[in-house]
Amino acid sequence: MIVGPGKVPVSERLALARLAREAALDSHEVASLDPRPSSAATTSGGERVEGVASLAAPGGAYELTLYVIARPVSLHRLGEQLRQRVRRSAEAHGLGEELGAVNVVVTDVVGEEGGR
Amino acid sequence: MVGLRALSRLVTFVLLAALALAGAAVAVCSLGSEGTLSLPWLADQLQLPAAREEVRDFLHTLETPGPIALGAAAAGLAAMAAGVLLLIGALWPRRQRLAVLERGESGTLGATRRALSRAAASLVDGVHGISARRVRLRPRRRGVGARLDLRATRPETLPGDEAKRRAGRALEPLSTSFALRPHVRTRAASRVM
Repeated sequence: MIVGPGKVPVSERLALARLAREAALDSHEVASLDPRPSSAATTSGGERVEGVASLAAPGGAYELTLYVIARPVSLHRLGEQLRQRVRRSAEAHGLGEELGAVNVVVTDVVGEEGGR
Repeated sequence: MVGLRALSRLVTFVLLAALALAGAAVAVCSLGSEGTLSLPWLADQLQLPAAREEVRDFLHTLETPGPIALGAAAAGLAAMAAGVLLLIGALWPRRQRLAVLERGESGTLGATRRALSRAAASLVDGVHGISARRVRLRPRRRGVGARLDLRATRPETLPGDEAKRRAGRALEPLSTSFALRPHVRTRAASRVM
């Protein structure tokens, strides 16, 4: 069973969104996650993870879409790195089987000083 | 196209609101057969019998050949053209806000026009003497890639072809990694007195 900070069980969908958000924010290339698109969030059990949309995909896995505000870096490398980070984090938490495709949408690019 | 789309949305909203109000009025007045809140009463309230008397002669004039009939035909054609334009504004497919840069089994990589434009501008601004003035991105309606139109200023001492070549080379991280087709136009920066 997956539990949240308060030892409350959370859904796999929410857990994956939460892990993806943490993995993205740990990346230096990501300035922040963008909650502006109304669909760019995952809500479950009263908790809302902004900047990550988690949708059930065919086959039982969950497809994640990360809406990121990036620093000026290679977008190709950014996409690859984010996918790898999210996948590693999901596998480390026993959710590798539940993780489907990881989409990355760069909504804006900010300078090096852009905060989170 | 943006203005046409906004106009068609406004007209649609106003017409739908008017239609809803008219429908509600007719529905309420359909409940009674005579007296207040009946269809004859509603016609009286809207002064339809008086309006019919007023336009009766005009309608007769319209039916006969003459300048008024020609004017009415022209107005009808203009109304049809306006309707076609509004239909185009409402039905023309919107250009994608997102440019899909990569698509694979592991997922897709996309970027908004704003993000890609900024990335392109920052790449070009890194070239000595060249400054991006305007960047427009046109994502493909289907598939991967986009067209990137960039206008930039260059020093008067730098030939236009050389400036285009340098700007194109600066954009290579975007254009080679993704299916972006850059179109660069430069003009010499005017001298500040």
